[in-house]
Amino acid sequence: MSSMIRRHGPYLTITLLIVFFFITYLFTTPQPVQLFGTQLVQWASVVGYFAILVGTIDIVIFHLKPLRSRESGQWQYSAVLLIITAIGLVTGTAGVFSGAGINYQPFAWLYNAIYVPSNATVYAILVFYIASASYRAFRIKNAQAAFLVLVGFIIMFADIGVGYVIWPGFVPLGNWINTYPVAAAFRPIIIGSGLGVIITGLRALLGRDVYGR
Amino acid sequence: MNTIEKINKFLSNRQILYLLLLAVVLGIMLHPLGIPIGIAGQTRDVYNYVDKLPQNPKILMDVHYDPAGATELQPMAGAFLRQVIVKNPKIVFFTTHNIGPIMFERLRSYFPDVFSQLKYGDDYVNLGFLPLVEATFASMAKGCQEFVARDAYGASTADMPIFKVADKAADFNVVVLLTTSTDPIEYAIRQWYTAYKMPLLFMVVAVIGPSVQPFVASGQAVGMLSGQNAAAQYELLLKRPGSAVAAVDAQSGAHVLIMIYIVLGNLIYWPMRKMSKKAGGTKTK
Amino acid sequence: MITPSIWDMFGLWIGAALTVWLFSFAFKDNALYKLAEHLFVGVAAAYNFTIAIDGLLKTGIAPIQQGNIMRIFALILGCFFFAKYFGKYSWVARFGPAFVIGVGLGISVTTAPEGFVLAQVKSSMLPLWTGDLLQSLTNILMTFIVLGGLTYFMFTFVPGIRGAAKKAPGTRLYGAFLKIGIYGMMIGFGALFASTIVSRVAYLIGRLTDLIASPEASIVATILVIAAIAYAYRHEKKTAVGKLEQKESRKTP
Repeated sequence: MSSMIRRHGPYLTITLLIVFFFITYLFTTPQPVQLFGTQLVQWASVVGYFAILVGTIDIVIFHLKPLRSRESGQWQYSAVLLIITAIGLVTGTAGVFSGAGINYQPFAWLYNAIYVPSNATVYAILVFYIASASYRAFRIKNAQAAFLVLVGFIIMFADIGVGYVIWPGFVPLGNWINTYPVAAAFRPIIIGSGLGVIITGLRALLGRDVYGR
Repeated sequence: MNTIEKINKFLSNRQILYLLLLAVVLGIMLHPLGIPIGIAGQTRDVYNYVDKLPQNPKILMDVHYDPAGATELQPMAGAFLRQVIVKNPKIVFFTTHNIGPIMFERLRSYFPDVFSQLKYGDDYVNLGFLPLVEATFASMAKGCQEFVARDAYGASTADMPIFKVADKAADFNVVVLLTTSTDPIEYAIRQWYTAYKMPLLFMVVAVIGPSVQPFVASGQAVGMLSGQNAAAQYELLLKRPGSAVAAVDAQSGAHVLIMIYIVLGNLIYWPMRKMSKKAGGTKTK
Repeated sequence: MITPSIWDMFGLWIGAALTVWLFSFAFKDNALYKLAEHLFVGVAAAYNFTIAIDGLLKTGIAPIQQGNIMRIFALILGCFFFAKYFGKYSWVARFGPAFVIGVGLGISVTTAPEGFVLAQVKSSMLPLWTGDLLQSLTNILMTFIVLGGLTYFMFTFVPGIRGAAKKAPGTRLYGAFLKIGIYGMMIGFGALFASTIVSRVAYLIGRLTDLIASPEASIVATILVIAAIAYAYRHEKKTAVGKLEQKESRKTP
C-alpha cells in the first residue's frame, strides 16, 4: 500500500487536480466548489515560496562539501560564499521580522552593493559573445542565411539612430516587418506551444508522463 | 601567411573585439553624437492608447525585471507613469521577479515627481514579491486583496481604500506587464485575457519582442513597447527625454561595429574558403 | 550639500569592483572573477531566502491570522518540500511540486486552447482582398507565412519524397509551403537576432553608466583584475611546463 502511494501518489494528485479544474471550467458548479477551486489556486502560489527556500538550502549544502574536504582551489571560495550567505540570512531575517522587510538598512546595503551590480553584469557579459558570434557564426552560406542577415540588418537600421539618418524609411519599414511578417513567423510556434501545453496536461491526466519515471 | 589570413587572424581575436566594443560604447557615452530618433508606429499606438484611458484609471502593474532589464524597462515604466499621472490613477504594483522589490524601490526613487502625487494606500500600493507560477496570476485576477493579506511593507491590505475600487479582474482598465521573460506574458494571456478579457499592455526587453508580437497582432494585447529604442521614442513623444534617449547614440555605435564585423566576416570567409579548396579541402575557421 | 556616508562610498566601490571582475571572465577566468561569482551567488541565495520568508508571512501566515484557516494546508503542502533531506521520507517531497504542477496544468490546460491556439488561428484568417493593395498584399504574405510555418512543424504527416511520389502535386505543394515557411521563419529569426543585439548592448550601457559614475573605483578594480589575469596566464604556463616535465621524466628511465 505504501509503495503504491509512494510511486503513484504524486501522479494521482496531478490527475485529480487537472480533472477538478476541467470540471469547474466546463460545467456550472456550486459556489462552495468554486471557492474551493480559488483556495487551491492560492495555495499553489504559497507553496511556490517553499521551492525558493529549498534552493537556498541546496546551495549551502553544495558548498559545505568542498569546505569539509578542503578541496584544492575551491574551499576558500566556498568559505567566502557561506560567510556572505550567513551575513545575508541574518540581516535579511532580522529585517523581515522587524517589519522593515527588504528595506532594512544592513540588508539593503548588502544587496545594493553586491547583488544588483553582479546580477546586471552577468547578463551584460553576453554582449561580448554576441559580438564574437557575429564575426564567427554569421556566414552567408546559402540564400536562407542571406535572407536572415538582410532582415536582421533592416531591423537593426530601424532600431538605431544612424539608420534613421541614412534613410528615414527604415523606421516604418522595420515597424511593418515587426508588426506583420514577424508576427506571422512566430504564430506557428505559439500554436505549437499551446498544443504542447494541452498535450502535457493530457499526458499527466492519463498517467503517461514519461519524464517522471 | 598571406594578407587575408593575417586579417582573419586579427579579426578572429576575441579580446581585440571586446576591447573595441568597450571603447566604442564608452567613447560615445562620454561624447554623445546627438543622432536623431525616428518614432515607430507601434510606440505611437501605445502612447495614443494610454492617452485615451479614462479618468481615474485602475492599473495593475507587474514589475518583472532585474537590474539588467532595468536599463530598457525602467525608462518605459517612468514614461508610462508620467503620462498616466495626469489622469489620477489607482495603481496596484506587484512583482513576480525575485529582484522586483528592489527594482520597484528604484523606480520610486528615480521618479519622485510621479510618486509624490500619489498617496500610498489610496492611490497606489506595493504588494511585493509573489512567486512566478500561473496560480499567482489566477489568484490576482480573482482578488488581489484576498490573496495578499499584507503589502510589501507589512501593512494589512484589508483596510486599504485602493482595494475598494481596484481589486478583481473586472475592476482594472489595463494590466501593464514590464517583463524580461515570456512566462508572465503567457500566464497573463491565459489567466487574465482569456479568462476575463482584461486589456494587457506589454513593455518588454527587445530580446523577447518578436516572440510576443503574435499576441499583439491578434489583439490579445492592446500594444507593446519593445527595447531601449522604443523607450527612447516613448520619452520623446512625452517630450521628456531621459536615460533611454541618452543611450541611443551608444546603441548606434555598438550596432555599427557589429554590422561591420558581420560584413567583414563574410568578405573574409569566401576568399578563405576558395583558398582552402585549392589547398586540398582543409576546413576554414 | 549631502555627502554620501562611508558605507555608501564603500558600496559603490564594491559594486564597481564586482562589475569589472565579472566582466573579466570574457577575457580570462581568474581568481578575482571566482571571488566575485561566489559573493554574488552567496548574496543571491540569502536574498531569495529572505524574500521567500517575507512572502510566506504575507500570503501564508497573515491570512491565517486574519481568519482564513484553510491557508494552513498550503503551509503543510509546502513543508513537504523539506522531506527531501530526510532519506527515508524523501518520497513525501514529491507531493509539493506535484500539487503546484497539478494546479498549474489544471488552470493552463483549460485556457491554453482558447488563448494560444484558437485566438492565433482566428487572427490568421485574414481577408485576402480588403480594397487597399498594401494591406491585401500584407494579409496574403501573412497567411502564406503562417501556413508555411505550420507545414514546417508538421512532422507526423510528410508526403512521399522518393520516386514517383516526389513529383506528385501534393508533394510539390508541401515543398512549396515548406520553403515559404523556412523563409518566413528567417524573417522572424532575423528580427530576433537584431532585437537580441539591442538588449545585450542595453545591458552593457547600463553597467558602463554605473562604472562611469565611480571612475576611481573602476580604474583600481581594472588594475587589480589585469594583475589577476596576468597571474592566471603565468600560472597556466607554469602548470603546462610542469606537466610537460613530468611527462618527460616518466619517459626517461
